Amino acid sequence: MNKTLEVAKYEYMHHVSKRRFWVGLFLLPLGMLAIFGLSILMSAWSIDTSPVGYVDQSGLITLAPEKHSKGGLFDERVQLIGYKSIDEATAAANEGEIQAFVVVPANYLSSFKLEYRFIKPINEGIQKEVSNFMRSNLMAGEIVPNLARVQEGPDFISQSLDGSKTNTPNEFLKMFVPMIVGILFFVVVIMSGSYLLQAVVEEKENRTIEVMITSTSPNQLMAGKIIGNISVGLTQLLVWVAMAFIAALIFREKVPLLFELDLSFKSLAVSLLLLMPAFIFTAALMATLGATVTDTEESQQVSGIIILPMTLPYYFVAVFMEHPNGLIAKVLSYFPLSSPVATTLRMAFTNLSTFEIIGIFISQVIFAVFSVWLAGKVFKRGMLSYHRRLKLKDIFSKEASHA
Amino acid sequence: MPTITVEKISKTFGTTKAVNDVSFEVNPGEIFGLLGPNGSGKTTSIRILLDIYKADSGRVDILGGTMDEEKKNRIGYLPEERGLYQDVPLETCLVYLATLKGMKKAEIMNKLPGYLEKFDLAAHKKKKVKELSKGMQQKAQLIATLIHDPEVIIIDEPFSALDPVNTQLVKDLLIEQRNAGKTIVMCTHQMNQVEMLCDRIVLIHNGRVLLYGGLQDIREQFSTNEVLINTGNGLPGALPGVLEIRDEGTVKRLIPEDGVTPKQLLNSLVSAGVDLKTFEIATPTMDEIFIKVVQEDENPHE
Repeated sequence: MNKTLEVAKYEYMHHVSKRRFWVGLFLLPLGMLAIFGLSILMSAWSIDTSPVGYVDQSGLITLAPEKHSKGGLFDERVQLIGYKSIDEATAAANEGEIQAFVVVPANYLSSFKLEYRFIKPINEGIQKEVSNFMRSNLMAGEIVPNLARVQEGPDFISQSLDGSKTNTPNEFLKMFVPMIVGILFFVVVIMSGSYLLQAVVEEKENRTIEVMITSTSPNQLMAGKIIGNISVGLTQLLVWVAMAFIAALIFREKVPLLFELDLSFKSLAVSLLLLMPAFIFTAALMATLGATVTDTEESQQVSGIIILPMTLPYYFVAVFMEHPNGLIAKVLSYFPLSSPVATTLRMAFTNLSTFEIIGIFISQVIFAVFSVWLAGKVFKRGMLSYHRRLKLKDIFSKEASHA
Repeated sequence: MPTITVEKISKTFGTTKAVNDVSFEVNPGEIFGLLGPNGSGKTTSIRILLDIYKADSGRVDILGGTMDEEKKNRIGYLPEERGLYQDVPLETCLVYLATLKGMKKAEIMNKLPGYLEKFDLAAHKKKKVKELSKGMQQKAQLIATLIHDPEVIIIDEPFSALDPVNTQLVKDLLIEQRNAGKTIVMCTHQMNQVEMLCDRIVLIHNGRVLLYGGLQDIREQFSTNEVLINTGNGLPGALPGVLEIRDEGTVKRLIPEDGVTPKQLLNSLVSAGVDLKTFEIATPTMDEIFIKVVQEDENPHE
């Protein structure tokens, strides 16, 4: 065990002491900050803050809407304007005075459903504004029936003026967590996986391997390399999460959009839970590849085999949105390389049962254990194969081929 | 009691029998030569010895039993395929390799400067390994082999890439280790080094043992009654008991008739009034024995 730790420590210090590690550590968050900053800016510019009307058929609205003027680029509050009838509100919308209007039906206190008729689809800002307005009005009375439900706010049934389109509020925001998990998974796994791949191939290239395996067992050596390189990745991850947290604290007042992100604790917890076995699986697979090839150049060519499947969930985003419990979504959430992103994506669009989440997690742990076993086996077979790429039959044959 | 006992080991890769029924023993306090042409099975034998490969049959005992993880700390190995981490400073590389041999950091930092001084590498310890010459890297690898004071030292071609000064340094070091009671197995193609250093040898060809025993015994086994002489004057056309005289440049080789001893040849030369400068029994060199044995094995009917 001590030698495993010595190998892990060396691998960790070897990468952390390199300039490229520090460049990557700070350059990537800066790049992401720039991209997110730009997209938030574009999103803020594109948010329509023109007024939204309302038609009260319930007689519950007694307070006049609060008047406010635009407070800056990120102020997405909208002015609410009351109309007597749906026809009047529709006419105002058609004339461009308002971008949409809300109908408070007569049975609102039993249904808590609002009809939202729009020219431009509803966004989180409007939803929040209308919800607050409804809450203020309902709670203004001395007796508030069904207080808990009132506080929860209304449900929106949203459709265009002509009834041809419906929409749910901002699908992009729902995908924020899966996107972030995906990007972190990509970057961390690819970076530490590449380090691992490189470490194994370099040891073959510079012939250090024979000295190493007469000092420690191949299993200890491989375990140490995996632990060391995963620790490098986790260090990066921790620093980035800390940076994101600090950035959120600094910018939360200035960018209200950040509050609207669908940051479900369950979704985050499941993502993090799945990251570890996925991480081990990928790292072990990289090490396996490293043991089969003969030089760094060849290793870079074959690492694409691992990286490509990780991107699969992004190709199927539309399928995830439409059929989060469909075959493709399910297969990708059990497939080890795509599991963290696919599972989090599914959770954004459907409610996954705890049973299924546990099932996915157990399957990922099994894949991870299998991959480490495979890495050890391939490593033993391929470590002294200096001049020849290891073939599948070599791995499962009785003995390694001639070095 | 031998430190290493190799008993009838065999190993086949695909259709190639790399090692075939090889046996030998190595004792404490001796330098044992593991000899053979390229591809003869030496490296495979060493890898079986070190438990890198499993033998198909046979048995290896090392340091009183089969190989285990603990014993790896008691063995120093310099493989034929040299290898050090290229992209790290020399000192870092050696410290890491020493920790994997079970040494504590303090112990390493205590011993390493002495070794670096001895091998004239102290001034280069902060340089990356890839910046060092091939000879320097060879010396660095020798430090990694010896720093943990191993009881068994297995070295493959220890003199390749070394200049005469460093060759002598390594030879002295090996003799020093032998005198300290260490068990040394040395693979080399340099037969002059074998003659100077090895106490006993095994010669392997095509995976089989062709020669095994004490160096002196083997040389005597291959010696004839031929003598080499150097004279101040010429030689008579015929000498009693001499079948043939061969001119070999600075010396002449006298090939005796059957049953004639070197002593009888000396008497003949003195009786004939030959002005003898040197007289030497022509014991075959290890080079000659190596070539003869390997060629006979390859062409047994010639």
